[in-house]
Amino acid sequence: MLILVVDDSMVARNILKNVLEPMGHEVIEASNGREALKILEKLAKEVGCVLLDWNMPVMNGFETLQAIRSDKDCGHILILMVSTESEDEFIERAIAAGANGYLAKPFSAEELKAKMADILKAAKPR
Amino acid sequence: MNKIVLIDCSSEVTSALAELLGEQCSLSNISSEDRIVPEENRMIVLEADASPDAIYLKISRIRAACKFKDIPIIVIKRREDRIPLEHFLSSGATEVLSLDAPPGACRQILRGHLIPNRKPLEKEMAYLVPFIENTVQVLKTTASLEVAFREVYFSNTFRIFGDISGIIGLSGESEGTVAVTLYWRLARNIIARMMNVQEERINAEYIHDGVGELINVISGSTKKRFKGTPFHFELSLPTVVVGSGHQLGHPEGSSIAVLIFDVDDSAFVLQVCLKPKKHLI
Repeated sequence: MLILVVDDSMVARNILKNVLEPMGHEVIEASNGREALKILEKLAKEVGCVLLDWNMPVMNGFETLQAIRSDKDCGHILILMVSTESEDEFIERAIAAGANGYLAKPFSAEELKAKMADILKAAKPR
Repeated sequence: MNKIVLIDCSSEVTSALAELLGEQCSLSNISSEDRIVPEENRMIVLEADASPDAIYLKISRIRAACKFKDIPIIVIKRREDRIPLEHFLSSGATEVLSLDAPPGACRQILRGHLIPNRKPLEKEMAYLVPFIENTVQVLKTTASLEVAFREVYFSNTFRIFGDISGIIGLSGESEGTVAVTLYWRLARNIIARMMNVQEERINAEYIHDGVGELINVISGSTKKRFKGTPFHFELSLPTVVVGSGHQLGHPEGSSIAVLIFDVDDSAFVLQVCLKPKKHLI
């Protein structure tokens, strides 16, 4: 699967990439929401999943989530929020806006793998 | 009795200090900073001689060996000269005194540096414990590192010496800043472990970015613990400061808690400055 990782931290993107690539996924990166939307304008059909940080400059993760969910070309894309914002109200807002899952930082590689498995499994019957 | 170690000081400086500090201090003079165990001493004194570069190096090495413990490093000049104080201070010295200065002023300054830092009250620990626990947990989860909390004190004067700091502004119910300060070697090790790559692959850009991410995750995960309390805050985006001897600013009039953590033979510091808008303490 082609996965778009969106985080303003290069290290955070690499942490995700270093877990996802050995799982057989291909990873592309964006450092904020606006960059992510530009990538999706071209690659919406190829991208299967977006991992989205919440606090980012230029365009934050929640605004990006709303923009992706309002784009009919992106309807098939799974979205996993990956954020330090771990309070219930953030999780509830993200799920209500169309996120398929939420992973709070800090997380271990095993927790990321398990969360990816969960959202992929939940998406299959569609 | 305050233990004070003098490193390679002349008899003139040694006797002047003995007179200035009085009987409440026990002075010992050693020939090299290599033999020093910083944490066993309440103050470290060096004499500025004709070779300031060698003194700067000695100060830097002693400051690093203090592992963020607030041990005053005092440089004594036998007489006033034109060597700028800034180099001594940016190397890690706390104070530079000249024996030409009035003895009363020198005595007051030295005794001021012997006043111990304030330890937190029980109610202050209520907001410090979540930071301590989450810092340990964050490094365990993200970098598989066993981190041990060593001590906490409040200081508005001690400058934290390290090579890199990640700082994040807090706003909302509470306001302030949280900052992590590390030496370069430990920062590189932590970022390599977080990314699960060899240290050789970690360049300055990764360290710079990774320290910002580290303070972001520590602050973000701690924030949840304050939900529904006056200590709750919102996060700004992190910023990173690099350079030996750099100094961080905190909001005026606030107390800064210095939390020291040990990682194997190294250490790092978390500075927490958190002030609820509703006055509690």
